[in-house]
Amino acid sequence: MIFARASSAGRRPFRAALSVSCAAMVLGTLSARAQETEWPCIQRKVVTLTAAQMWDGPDVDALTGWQDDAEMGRLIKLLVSRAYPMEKASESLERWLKAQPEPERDERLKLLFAGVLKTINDERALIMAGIERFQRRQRELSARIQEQGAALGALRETSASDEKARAALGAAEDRYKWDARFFAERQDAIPYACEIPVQIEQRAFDLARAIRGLMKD
Amino acid sequence: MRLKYLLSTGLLLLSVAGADAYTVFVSNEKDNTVSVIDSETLTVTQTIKVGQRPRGIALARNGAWLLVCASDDNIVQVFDAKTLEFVKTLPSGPDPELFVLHPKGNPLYIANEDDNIVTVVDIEKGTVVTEIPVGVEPEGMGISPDGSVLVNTSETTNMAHFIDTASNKTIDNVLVDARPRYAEFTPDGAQVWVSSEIGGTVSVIDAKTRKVLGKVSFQIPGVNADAIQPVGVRIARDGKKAFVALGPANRVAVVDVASRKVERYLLVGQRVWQLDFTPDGKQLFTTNGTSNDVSIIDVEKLRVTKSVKVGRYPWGVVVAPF
Repeated sequence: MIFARASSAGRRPFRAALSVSCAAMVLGTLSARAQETEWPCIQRKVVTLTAAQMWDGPDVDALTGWQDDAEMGRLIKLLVSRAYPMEKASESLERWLKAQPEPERDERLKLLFAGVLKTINDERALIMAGIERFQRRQRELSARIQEQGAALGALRETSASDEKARAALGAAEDRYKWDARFFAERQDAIPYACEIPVQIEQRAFDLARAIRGLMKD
Repeated sequence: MRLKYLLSTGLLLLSVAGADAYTVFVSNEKDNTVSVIDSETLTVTQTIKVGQRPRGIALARNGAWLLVCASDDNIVQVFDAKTLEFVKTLPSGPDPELFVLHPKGNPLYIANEDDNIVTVVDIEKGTVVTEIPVGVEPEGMGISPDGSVLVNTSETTNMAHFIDTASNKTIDNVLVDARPRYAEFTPDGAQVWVSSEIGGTVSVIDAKTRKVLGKVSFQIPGVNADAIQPVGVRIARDGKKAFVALGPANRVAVVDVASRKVERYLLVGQRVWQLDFTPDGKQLFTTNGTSNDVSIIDVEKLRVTKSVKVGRYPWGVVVAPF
């Protein structure tokens, strides 16, 4: 279950070429899941990462003050950037530590980790809110497509005898297909989006390990 | 003659020296591979390609066969556990996630997550014996040591289904906490431990009366309750200690089976999922799905001794007796 997936439906690549009946099935599954939560990822949602999840070191969750240290702030920015390779992050960390007064190093590392964790949690919260927003829109879209489907059924029935309904049917079918395709493509994107919080957690853990490894106590 | 004697003695010594070395197999859900680890050197000696989204992993034919659930291929693959060569494919029903082998070596009981059934497969003949309907999103699979009772858990129905293996019929359903993940019998067969990922508990069920005897809950200082997600459960062969993987709490809980009290929490890798003991019971391997590694626990000292990098999203683990 670890592998990111959007829902039972999202896991299977859903292509626009699939039949309309398949689209209805996916929509049904999504509506059922939506009642449970707006969180579409396979991993159960964990709101905040805490220090105790990351290491066996001291609790740093309540520590503040790292914001007042410009150099530490710069280092934190660099460390949390996933584009900055972890090996380089470790080197930057060690360089910074050498410049700190020796008796204060453990305390400085604690403060640094507090800043790293807070920065990472803030970024992660933004991304998770984005994923939930995306899922909410998918749910709204799925409701709209279901309504369109019902209207289509009615149009089909009346189109046999009604000229106007026949003319409207083609346009309504096109709109339905486009919306279903749009929905499906967005649905395919969810597993990829769900990987981002995982990557952030990986980085947090790697940084915790690197920082803890430099502490004496 | 002398040479022959020396050779045979040498071989004997070699086999004695290698007595404690085992082979560990880890399914990597995202890489579609299985990592092979030498338990003595604790290094990955080989990585084999398997089907899509490998999750459940087990041994059959006394360790000669390695079975892998290739969930997105809707099959179970059989490999020669020593040569790692592909042997055959077994039918599995749709989306096989976890399975358990009858203690006698056949059949194999497979949980089909998307189809609300347990598929019973004859691994020798490669045929489906029957399908047993269960709750929604079946996952955990445990079998009593005598093989008479199978327990399947269903993620959405929140139940442990007790199935009589002689008739392949459900004999009881026991309500547990939300999203049950794994079922493990105590070695004496008296209890079944069922983990609940969302409920954050392990329900201990009397295997005969099917009554919940009690629940194990977990509190870790500094770790929020939403991160404590019990998944894999393993009970030591002497029946004294249970080890529970707690998902994103990144801890394995050590629980005293008799009192159902947590004795210790061991920090392992990220999102710890499944566990398996070495045959001598001295080491426990854990798969850590987010940190992409395996942690090794010294069972006697209750200490994490090492972590070994494997593929992406390691899920299942099984240790072979060679």
